[in-house]
Amino acid sequence: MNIVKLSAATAAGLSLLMLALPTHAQTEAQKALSGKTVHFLAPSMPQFAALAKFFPEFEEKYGIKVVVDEVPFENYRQKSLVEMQQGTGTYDFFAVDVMWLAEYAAAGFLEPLMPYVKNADLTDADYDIDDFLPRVISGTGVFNDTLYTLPIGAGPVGTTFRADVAEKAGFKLPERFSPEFTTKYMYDAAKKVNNPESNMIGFANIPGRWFWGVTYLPYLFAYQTPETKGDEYVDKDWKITINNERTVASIDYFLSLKEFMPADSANWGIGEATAVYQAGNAFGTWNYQDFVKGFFEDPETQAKVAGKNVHLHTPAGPDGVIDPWFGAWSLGVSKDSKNKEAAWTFMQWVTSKDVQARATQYGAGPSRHSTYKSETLAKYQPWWPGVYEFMLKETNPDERVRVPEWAEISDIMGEEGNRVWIGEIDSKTAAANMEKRMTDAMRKGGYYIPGRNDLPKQQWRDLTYYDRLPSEWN
Amino acid sequence: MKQPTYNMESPAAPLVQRNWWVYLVLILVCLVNFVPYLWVVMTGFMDGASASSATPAWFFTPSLEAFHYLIVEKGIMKNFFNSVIVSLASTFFSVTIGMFCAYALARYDFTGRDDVSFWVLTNRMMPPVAVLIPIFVTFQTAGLLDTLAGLVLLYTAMQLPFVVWMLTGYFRDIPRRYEESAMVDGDTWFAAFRKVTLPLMMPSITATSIFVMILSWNEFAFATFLTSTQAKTMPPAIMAYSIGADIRWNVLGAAVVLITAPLILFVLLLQRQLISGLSQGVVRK
Repeated sequence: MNIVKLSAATAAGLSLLMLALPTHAQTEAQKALSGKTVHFLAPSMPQFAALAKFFPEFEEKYGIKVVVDEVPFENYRQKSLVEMQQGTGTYDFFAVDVMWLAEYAAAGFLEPLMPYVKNADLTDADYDIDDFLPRVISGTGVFNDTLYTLPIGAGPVGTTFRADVAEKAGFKLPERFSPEFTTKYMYDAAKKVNNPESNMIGFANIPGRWFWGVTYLPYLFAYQTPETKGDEYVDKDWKITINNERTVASIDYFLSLKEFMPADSANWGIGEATAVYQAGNAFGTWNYQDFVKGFFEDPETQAKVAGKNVHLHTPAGPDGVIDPWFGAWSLGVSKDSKNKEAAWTFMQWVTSKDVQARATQYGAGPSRHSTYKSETLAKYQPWWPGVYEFMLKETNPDERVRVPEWAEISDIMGEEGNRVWIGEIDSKTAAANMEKRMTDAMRKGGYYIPGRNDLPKQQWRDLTYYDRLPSEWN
Repeated sequence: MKQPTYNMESPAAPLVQRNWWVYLVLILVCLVNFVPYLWVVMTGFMDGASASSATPAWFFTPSLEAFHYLIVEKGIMKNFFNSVIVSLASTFFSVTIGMFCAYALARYDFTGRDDVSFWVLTNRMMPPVAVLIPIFVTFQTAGLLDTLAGLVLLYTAMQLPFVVWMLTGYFRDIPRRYEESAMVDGDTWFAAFRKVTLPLMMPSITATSIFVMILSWNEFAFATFLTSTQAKTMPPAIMAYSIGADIRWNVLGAAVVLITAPLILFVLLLQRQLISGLSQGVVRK
């Protein structure tokens, strides 16, 4: 055998050996983490339950044990804040809602992640941070140009309707993002099938005070005009702008859906409205894209409605404007963790291309280009690929303005809106009250101090900020 | 020969009421109280689809799906045993310590007794959330976070005012001369307390223990914030496993079975003592 043939044979043998090795071969640094235990604080929600199915696989592969502490969503924020504030180090990584990132990052509770992403000893070679959708990763995990969290799933809010009920009533629901699907269309369709005597209400709305910050906003945005987009809550000088005819019209529309609902629905939240829909007693309801599989399409638990639904965006308003809502949960390493490297090893694994795509089978959502294009997603959650372009180009991470005052603003909106729902005040009074109270909140936040020039930048006015490649963040 | 009939009832005996409607009302009251619980228990034995069905079904194919989820998938029995340990231990300590405090307040006259008595009560006036952070910090400093010992200590301290106030009243109802008689016979105060007062107090102590046990067993706020994975008790575990963004009714039903069964058993075992304890003091001797 001459030297050329020997070299060729050796090369071929090595190639075969490389092919036989697992694609995610562990580095020495990762191997050294074997035997560690990482603690994860997570809210009790379907997308986290989907990820939990993969923990045994991770434990077997890396030898790192993952212990999850599930907390009811209602208590999650307080619990995580107390733990972070006190620096207990009990949890190595946290689930972080998109709306809390600014607060957590500004307080120094989270570890910057880019050094880990770039650490080849801890991050798999094919992790490919640039595979994440730019607006998803920047909108979810970036604060002050620094990456703090990795998104596990991100999506818009929408509406879900019973296609079979529509068909029986003689009409076919439009496609997602069809201009035909307007606020007027939705109201008319709901009215057409509304028949409470036969246990079918037209629309199960969510008017509970706490929920207005997510369930009313699609209508506040829908009633904007192309000219007023961006000025929904504040103008360029952070002056509150909510007291206007568009807000009044959107509240009136939200209220018009009351005619389909039972008299005791003033405090309905997501749980109540969803339960009515799941029981087959509502034609339509609100949804969040990450909940669709668990809430409506799981044939084992939602036998009444699974496979009979059409999932649409929230309706467009009179001027064709749709809500650019953006919601996401992400994972962030605790600053006080004693196992940061092990926590990162888990996070990079669970958000990898392979695991994220496979997790979609169980209801987890996508946040990567590759996941949106995966066959698993198309097979198990076919309602997702249709929002890919929206998440790339239309969504606005600042649809709910990400300032520390947002929680108060949202609460004011909910309280005043709910007072309209129960008939205590009218929509004009509510809009005026909102403006006054939100202005007070902003004043308390120091936005109107004369001469102040360090106010936050209103990134939603130029979304190119959020379109940077993920690897460009610090 | 026909035997004469006699009315064997004393003319002084109280009239025996045989009003059928009394029983009807009682049955209705029992139904109103029992049916919701029965329904929740039944829901625990339904599968997910039946439990969320709009039309309630009294007859269904029983399923252990929810119990399997809670016990096998979520390992809730660990939380169950944590609850048992914490509740029993805190009940024992708070009742034992509280009993002596109550005895002292009821029997001895000392300067500031009323102030101490009122101060004990004020400890129950603060809502738990008001002291959550200070207690969290204290636990963190003392290394008691996520430990059963920490919860036992906290619940004992939380329930002491309740025990003291309940038992002080009961001690006052027992005449002091009973103990004095025993002491005249040569007993020490403690022997008199043990042999005379304590047996008389048993129903009250049992009733108080049951209430303390229920309060400890059901405590949610502190258990949520002061525990994570090792010492988590049933209430936060149930909330986390059955109520996410939506509610899994069959899981909630199964959880209700698991969390209420021990309490029902405990109350049934001590029922006689409980009733006697609750009625003590109603008729002044």
